[in-house]
Amino acid sequence: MIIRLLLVVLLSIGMIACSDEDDQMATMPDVATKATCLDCHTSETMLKATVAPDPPLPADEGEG
Amino acid sequence: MEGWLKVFIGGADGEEFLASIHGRKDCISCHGGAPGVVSKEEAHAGLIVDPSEDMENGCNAACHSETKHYENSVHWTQAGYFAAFRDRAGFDLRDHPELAAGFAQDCSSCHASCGDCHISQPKNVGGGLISAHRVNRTPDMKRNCTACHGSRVGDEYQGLNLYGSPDVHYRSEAMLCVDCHSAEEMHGDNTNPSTRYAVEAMPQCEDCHSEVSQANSYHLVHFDELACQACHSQDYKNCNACHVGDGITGESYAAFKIGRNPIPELRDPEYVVLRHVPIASDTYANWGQPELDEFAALPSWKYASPHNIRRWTARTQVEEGMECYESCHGSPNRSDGWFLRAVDLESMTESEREANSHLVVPDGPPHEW
Repeated sequence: MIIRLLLVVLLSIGMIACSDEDDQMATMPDVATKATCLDCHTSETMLKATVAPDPPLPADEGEG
Repeated sequence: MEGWLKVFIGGADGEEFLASIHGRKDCISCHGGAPGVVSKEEAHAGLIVDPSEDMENGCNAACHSETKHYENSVHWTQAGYFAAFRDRAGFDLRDHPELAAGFAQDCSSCHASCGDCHISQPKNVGGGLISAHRVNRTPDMKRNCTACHGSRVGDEYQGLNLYGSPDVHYRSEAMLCVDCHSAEEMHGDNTNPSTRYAVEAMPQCEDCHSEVSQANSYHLVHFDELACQACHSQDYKNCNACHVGDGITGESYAAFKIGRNPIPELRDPEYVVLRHVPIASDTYANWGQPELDEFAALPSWKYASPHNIRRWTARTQVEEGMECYESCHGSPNRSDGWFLRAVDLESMTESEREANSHLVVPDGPPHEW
């Protein structure tokens, strides 16, 4: 009984992990088949992977 | 703002944008770029980051005829910069490529496109979509207006400086910039002004406080001759470092000065609040202009509109036992007094003294002037 229960728990954990991975993949557009602008710009995962960090802004008080 | 978030069209705002009339347009029709390619670099070839910078074919030309005058507004033209330089130098900097390049490097980031107010944060604070590309009819006070107008106006209005309290109109964020500064003022009125004080739609205190001229004995005496801020603003920031070159590198400081109105052709009161601006004859030396030949043509004390209004200030409150007029009429003939006097010009160069001498009030109490 305990072994069966343990198997069910392990199987559930495995399924959750796979599910997370699938979600990640689902948000990545398939750029190999010519993604559109929106395919990338609505994908948090894609943008995080591809957008370069901004250069630092000049330290300036501004006129206003 | 993280880089990816600046260009992310997601969440509820993103969905709203994509369902809107702007979001249903093909991205490339506004932003250019190349369709049907694989790499980011290829897709972004010919990208137009801010299509609203194209006044010929952008927002106004396409649909928004109601803002067709924006190309004459000071947010777009930066006419105030060119006018001030022209008056002090005797010629237009745009006629000289070297000076125009200096301006482009040091000053042009203060130019604002339609998108800088309605879609993204302004470029000079790094840009970035505000609401996932949703086109906001009303600019966001903190992420648009005070993103640029922050160091003086924004901080003073919200009481974020070490000196002073928030503006009374900001109490509980009751009034935002757009409550006074209308779209008509921001978008221009086709008069091509060279200063914001020439814009007809600029707000006046009386627009809301219509009965205030008769409100009390002080107003009965002073309303026409004194700017409201002369009594009702607190100490305000005077910038002390120029934005170009190395000539003036001091720290900004809080002060308060009442002097004669430097722009009587545009504003009525005889006496107004003045702030000192960091300009010197050699300010533009690193642009290739060693001296401003007509430096004395414009004062370095400018008409000011501090955004830190209170009913009770150091002018309107007196200590117990003092006469009600003593705060102002007893202000000393010293540099720590509230009036711009000859003593305030003593440490200036001869040309700067000449530029400001017409703004100085006589020594002695105001009722003896």
